Amino acid sequence: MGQPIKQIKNRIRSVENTKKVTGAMQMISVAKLNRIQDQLFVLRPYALRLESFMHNLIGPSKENLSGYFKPGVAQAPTVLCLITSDSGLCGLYNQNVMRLAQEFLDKNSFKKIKLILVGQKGLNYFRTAPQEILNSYLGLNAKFKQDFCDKIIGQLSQLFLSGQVSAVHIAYTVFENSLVQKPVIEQLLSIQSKNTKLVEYIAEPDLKSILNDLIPQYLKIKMQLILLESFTSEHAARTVSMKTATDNAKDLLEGLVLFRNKVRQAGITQDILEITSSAEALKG
Amino acid sequence: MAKTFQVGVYSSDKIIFEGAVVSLIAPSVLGSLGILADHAPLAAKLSSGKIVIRTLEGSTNVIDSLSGGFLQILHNQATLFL
Repeated sequence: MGQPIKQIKNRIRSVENTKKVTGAMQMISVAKLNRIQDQLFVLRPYALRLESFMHNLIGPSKENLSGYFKPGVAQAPTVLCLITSDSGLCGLYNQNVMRLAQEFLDKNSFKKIKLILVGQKGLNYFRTAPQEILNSYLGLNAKFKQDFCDKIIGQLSQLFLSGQVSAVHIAYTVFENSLVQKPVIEQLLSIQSKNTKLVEYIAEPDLKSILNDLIPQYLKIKMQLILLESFTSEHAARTVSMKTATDNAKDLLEGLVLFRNKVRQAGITQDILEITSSAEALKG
Repeated sequence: MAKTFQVGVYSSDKIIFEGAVVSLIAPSVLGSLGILADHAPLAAKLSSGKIVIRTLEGSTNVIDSLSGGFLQILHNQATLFL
């Protein structure tokens, strides 16, 4: 039992502190997760309904209806918007979506791709990349803010409508459940028609003016959904990784306490042995 | 018995109304629209105003819509996005 008992006690104390910190962070993440998850679960069906309404409305032939549907000029660069977190300690959440984004960049390396980054982690990773970074949005801290969301989608649609870019892709994380979050890349603009059969609507006042209002609204809701999906995933990932950290600290602590007791017991045994043997010696 | 159809009134943060109704009055940008069951497919832009929903039991729900929105009617199902 080489280690003096004092050193073991110090280690126990430091592990206990770490456990307290990770435990607290876990509880904070759980609270935040619950709040944002409620928001997400209400928005999801709304966004789905709005999307299917829009696709019904535009039907198979669409290009002349609005600038949002026209595929851009092929030579123009495209934009990839990547959504990551601002802070770390959330397991593989950032790595997964960044790996997907990197794969996308590698696969499309013949095209000119510009980046728009949401979150500090993505910025740190792509700062040294050869792709031009058009803008970065920092300081959201996985809290949904409407004005941030409007700003991001405003910039993306403005880039596309002005013809500066030919397409807008977005890489984010879909929240499936608290254990599974799936990183995905979607084409946001131009809007791809999913519906092949045309529904003959009576339009009031007319199709064009409905779409002029509906599409910005749809994009706003879509962006809101994308951000909420990502933030919910982030909180879920953080909850899980903090729980793992707390559990590991618990295991470590158990071993250390056992070790401390053994060392202490060994010391006591040693002492008794010494006393009895010296008593024997005195008797003799 | 009056024929009913499904109506859903949704905003991005909650479900405002969902259920079978007899009639629906919605404020479109061109004027109020009265809708009964078996309406043809309709897409309309809504302005602010009162949305009136009459259910089979005879109760009337009035929803004040402060912002505009959209109305879709398809397969005897009306969906309002506020």
